[in-house]
Amino acid sequence: MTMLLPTFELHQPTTLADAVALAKKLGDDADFLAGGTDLLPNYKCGLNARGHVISLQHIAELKFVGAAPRGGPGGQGGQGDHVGSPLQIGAGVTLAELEHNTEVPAGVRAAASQVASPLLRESGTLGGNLMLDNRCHFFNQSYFWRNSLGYCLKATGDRCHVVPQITEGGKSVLNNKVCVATHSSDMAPMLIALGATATFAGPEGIREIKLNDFYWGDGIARHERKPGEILVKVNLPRWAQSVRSGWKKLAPRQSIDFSVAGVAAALELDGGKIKTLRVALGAIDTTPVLFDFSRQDLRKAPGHYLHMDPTKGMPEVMGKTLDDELIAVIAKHVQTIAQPKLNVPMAPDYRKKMCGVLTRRLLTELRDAKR
Amino acid sequence: MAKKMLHITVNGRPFEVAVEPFHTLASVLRNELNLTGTKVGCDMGTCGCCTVHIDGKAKLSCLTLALECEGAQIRTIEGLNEGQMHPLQRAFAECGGSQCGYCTPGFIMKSCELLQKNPEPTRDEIKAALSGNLCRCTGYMKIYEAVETAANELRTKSVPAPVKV
Repeated sequence: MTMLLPTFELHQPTTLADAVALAKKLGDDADFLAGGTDLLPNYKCGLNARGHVISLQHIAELKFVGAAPRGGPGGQGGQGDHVGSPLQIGAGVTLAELEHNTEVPAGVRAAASQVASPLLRESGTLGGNLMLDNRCHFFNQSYFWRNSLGYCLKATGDRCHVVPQITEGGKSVLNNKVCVATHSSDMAPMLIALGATATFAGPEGIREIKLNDFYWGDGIARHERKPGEILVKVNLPRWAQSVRSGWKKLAPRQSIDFSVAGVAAALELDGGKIKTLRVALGAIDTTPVLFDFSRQDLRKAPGHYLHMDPTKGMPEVMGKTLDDELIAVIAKHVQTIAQPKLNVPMAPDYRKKMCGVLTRRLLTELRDAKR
Repeated sequence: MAKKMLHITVNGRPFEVAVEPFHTLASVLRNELNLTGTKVGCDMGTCGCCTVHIDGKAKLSCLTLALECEGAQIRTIEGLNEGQMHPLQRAFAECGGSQCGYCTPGFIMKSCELLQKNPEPTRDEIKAALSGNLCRCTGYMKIYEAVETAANELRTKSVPAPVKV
């Protein structure tokens, strides 16, 4: 079935500076296109399509792994805007390239190799995966489907079909204006577990933000990218290179499908005892959810509509031996906190339980891995 | 919204086509160049029917904007082999790897890329490489057998006499 794309104007800048200038000029009526594997299906369903599309595919500054190319991103800040980061991954690197790149941590490779299908990974980029639109049963549907039920908050409508609403005589009196669409990115939880930061280039210059602080708990606003800003690269801290990291995901099919639950972990052991443990859940909430067991990396709450608090009842694990018993305690905690909504395939109960199961499997695997 | 000129080489032949910015490569190949061998299944990137080679890489033409392919070398199922069947095509026919045939061009283009990179793939490698292509008829086993047969044939060069098409 051929689905027609809505009409738009395509812009193909070749430098980051040009792209930023274009985005500034076009304002709200423009979207960025990287691989197009998320944007174009949404456009074909008539979901929030805009009049202008700015392609990022021809910008060489976004395609690198390792040290930043000379001149620096955007040609504005020059080199050295992130001194001391041993690994930088350009936002334009495709997931297929990342999957086979031995420079990046094992967890990043694992997560990249499980996104969608080989064909989609050939086009899909790291940046696109991090900026992925949130997903929901009531949103990712054709125009006809949505028209039959009535539109939702996230596209053209004024109500949410997922969260219960108080109604009076069939009319909604308390409309929940916070969208709960699921954040299905596989790369985001993995990079958050590894403590990554993201660098953006925008009309006001270059800024760097912790990836864990970047996502907002609202499926419509989604994140704090300022208008016209472009994700340039992801920076991984030095320790991310040496820790054990991995990713496990649950999806209806092993290929093609978006994850409906995913667990990323970064683990540092010192003689069998936990030195660092960061677990991040994907596809469970409107944002990835980080469990930093050292309780240091806490998301700033105001304005972010956090739905879950990973520190609530968090067990003391630092410095303890990571045996099967402790893994079970950690898995139980992750499972208790996870509160999936009924808005992607598979039952929330099952997905909640699988968060615990995947955490147990992943931590056991990481602990037993020969190094 | 003005049409723009797109210059692409499809199956070794240069083309100059006027396309809209919102036209996908699949629609240009099929509607403008009449290369209807490339099929469009879901048009959402989930079925793999529309797979073509863009600069040597198997990609989904339904999720590729035509204008993004300016100057690119495209290879479609029609250009797999000039005038005769490619060993992959013959193997798909002989092993029953194709029934209704709608997914076959996608499977063959992806398999072709796989065999170029890895002339001796294991069954698991074939499964992994083809995991983005859907077939509702065969149950996949015969497709895997066809790829193995073609790989064997291409490796040993025991290519039977070409079948004229």
